[in-house]
Amino acid sequence: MGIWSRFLRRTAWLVLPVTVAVLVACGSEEEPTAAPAATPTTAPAATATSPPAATATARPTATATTAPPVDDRVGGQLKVALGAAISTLDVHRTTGTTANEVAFAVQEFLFAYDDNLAPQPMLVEDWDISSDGFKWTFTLRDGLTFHNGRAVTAEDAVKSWTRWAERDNYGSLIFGFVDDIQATGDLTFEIDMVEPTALILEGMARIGGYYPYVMPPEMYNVPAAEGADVLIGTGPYKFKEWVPGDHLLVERFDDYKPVNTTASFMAGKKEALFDSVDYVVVPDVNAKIAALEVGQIDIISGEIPGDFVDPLGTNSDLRVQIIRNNSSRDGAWLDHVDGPFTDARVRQAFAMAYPVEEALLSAVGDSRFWQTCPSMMLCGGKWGGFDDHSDGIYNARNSGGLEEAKQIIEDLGLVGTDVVVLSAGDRPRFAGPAEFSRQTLEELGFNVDFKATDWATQTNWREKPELWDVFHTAGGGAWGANPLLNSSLAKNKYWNKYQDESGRMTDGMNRLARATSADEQLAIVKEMQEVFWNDIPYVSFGDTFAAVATRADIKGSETQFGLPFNVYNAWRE
Amino acid sequence: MTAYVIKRVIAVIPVLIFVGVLTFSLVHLAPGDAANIMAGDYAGPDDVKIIREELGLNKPLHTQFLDWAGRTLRGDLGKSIYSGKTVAELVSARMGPTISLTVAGGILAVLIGVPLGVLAAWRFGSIWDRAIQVWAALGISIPGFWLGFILIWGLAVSLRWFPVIGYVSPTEDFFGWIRSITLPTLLLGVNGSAIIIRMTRASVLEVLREDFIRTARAKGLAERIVLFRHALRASAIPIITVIGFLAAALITGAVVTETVFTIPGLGRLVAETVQTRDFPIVQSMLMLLAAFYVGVNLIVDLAYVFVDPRVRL
Repeated sequence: MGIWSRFLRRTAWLVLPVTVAVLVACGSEEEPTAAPAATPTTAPAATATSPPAATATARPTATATTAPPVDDRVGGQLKVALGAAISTLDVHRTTGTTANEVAFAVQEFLFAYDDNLAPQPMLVEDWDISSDGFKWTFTLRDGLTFHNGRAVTAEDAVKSWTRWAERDNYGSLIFGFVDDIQATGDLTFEIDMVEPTALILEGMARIGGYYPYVMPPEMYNVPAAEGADVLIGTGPYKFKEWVPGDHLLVERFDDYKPVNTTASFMAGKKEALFDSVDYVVVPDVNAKIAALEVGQIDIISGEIPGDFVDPLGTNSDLRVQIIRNNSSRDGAWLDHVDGPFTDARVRQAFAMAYPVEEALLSAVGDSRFWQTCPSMMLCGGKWGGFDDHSDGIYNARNSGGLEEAKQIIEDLGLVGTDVVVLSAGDRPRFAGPAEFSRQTLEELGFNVDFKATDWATQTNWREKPELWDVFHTAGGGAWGANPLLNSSLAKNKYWNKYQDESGRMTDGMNRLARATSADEQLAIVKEMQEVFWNDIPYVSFGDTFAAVATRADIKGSETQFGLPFNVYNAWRE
Repeated sequence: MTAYVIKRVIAVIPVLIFVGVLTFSLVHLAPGDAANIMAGDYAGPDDVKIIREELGLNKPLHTQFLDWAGRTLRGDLGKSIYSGKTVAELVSARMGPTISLTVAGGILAVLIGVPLGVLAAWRFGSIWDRAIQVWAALGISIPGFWLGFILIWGLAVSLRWFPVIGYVSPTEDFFGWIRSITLPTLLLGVNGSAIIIRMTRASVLEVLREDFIRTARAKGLAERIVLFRHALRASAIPIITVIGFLAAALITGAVVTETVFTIPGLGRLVAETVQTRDFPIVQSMLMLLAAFYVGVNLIVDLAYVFVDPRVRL
């Protein structure tokens, strides 16, 4: 006792700060490097219509990149924060975005969309279509291997694509045209058609819904319902490790054989410039943003709330972008088989009275994050941007729409009728517009039962038409750009149970699937838009844009069309 | 005592059966199911129907219950609807972070709570007593998630002393492990200490008025010995009880702590699986937590014997 005891007692107060100092010294993070000042950047509004792209395009030009030499960019680890846990390694089990965000780096398609949303060859070297359109022949690139070392064969391509088609709506639509598909050699396969369609290449490049990745037998031989427990592809990164709920690590695939064309959206040359990419699950948005600020992560996947964008933009270590060419369509979905919205006139009245700008403001923030769009399809897509037949219905509230709508409801004797509006409180993007739906319906004279719940519960309630009349959601990518992929426009295919009483929408779909020229396709889509504004399958608000935040020293990660960022072709400066 | 322990362990079985039936009913009667979540936002009725059939979620509830009960009785707690991993795999992968946080947070709560509680009782009515009571009131009233964000903002973002997110295993990097659990441990320690302070203060205050304390002081014993050897020991049973409850509360409270600090532990596993309606995991996790509660209560009961020789089991 004595001296040591007294010494320890008198010095005990030093223990905590010394321990903290030691810990900090042992493991302090490297200070983030200074970067040029970055403010929230916005691309020009995408109101103009892009010219429709042909579905089967000419071969792209050879690579002409101006990027710095590869060696300077190679190395290090990229850390990406995912907003939700990766639920499965098998993308044919889910349409959830996190599983697909990882698969983009690991697996590849036969064809991939370019900047113009035109399918370009990825694993395919050459293809041909017979003059009558009844036979397609495809040849794969030679020398391709999966990450497990197995050579990619035509049989792998056929079985992977067939597995996808069994899950995906678009796949089942396309396979309605297909008579037979079979491998005719190690690298060649053929598709015999029941009747010609221009959708084959689109189906091989499909984004949104289930994704048509080419897989090895270890994956496609496992029923999609069961789900393969491996992730193997041909992409620039290969799967390394998955700790469910925590992170998934991929590392560079040294034997990757890129296609030798200019990188363009999902098509063209891909390079794995990082040694590895770590996808970290960070569900809380505040924690995610704090981790980005201190440099613990490099990219935030998914949506950043609008009110975070400006504060983050003042941090010169970060780059915050509102991606205006990567839009979604937000709206209110109506029950077409039960209640007052079975009548198209009531749906039209609701659309006329709806304050779309206020709803968009409440959903995603100020006007940098959305644009009104009077077309059936996304204004940024190849079949959107025109306002035909929307006059007097879309965004018409302040130009007489509200009064006209009130009159319609009164004339139909529906004043005082009960309607149920669902609101998913855990999805602020939909909860705000739900409140506007409630107010609008009350203004029209309805007696509104406003049911606030969580998203999981709402997904269950919307299965039963008697439990709801209005719910809110959004869709992006190909869903919003291509009517054939938009199940809300198909008869009885989505929760709105659109009935298409005139049959004109279904007829338009059938003709669009068979159209063989871009002009013909656009003309058909315009006809379908007339049906859209007449039938109101759902009340369309407009196009919304997501914000992506990255560390300022991360370059080359920018992308578009439903893909918030690239991990391939990205590097740390 | 052995007979007592065996009796208590056997008594756990009906508790688990009750919890099992209750949790099965609750998770299946709550709206929403995994088929909808798994299918994703773009999926329509046909897609969901197929997935529901594949997962067996379309079977009548009593059939699903019998399937589940049969599997559970055979020791098969099921596997995740999404990842296909068994409950044992998921729990063993997530246990390390939660045990680290719970043990460290519990120790810190006791180290803060007991001395401050004794001090408050000893200096009853003084400025010390009032300050400690304010601390305890704040500790109880401040929501854990709010304090967590304040800690992140102050010590991780502004000062950059600690990581904002993540967990490092001690076998991988010991100092990294200490750094990764420091902030959540502080949060758990501060919140947990509040209830210990209040219980210790009340209990010690009561004992300090007893005759044997007056006698001890009259004998001329040092105040330190009177306080810690006599008063604290005599007050120990309610304090141990509250520490036992705290241990169980720390495990369940991990849902918030692990979410705020992005720690991949059991708490986050529960939160994720509830959100995604991953029924097999939710059911098994709730049963495991119930078993943990019962186990902690048993340990607390046994601890009484060692602290107070008058207690006989």
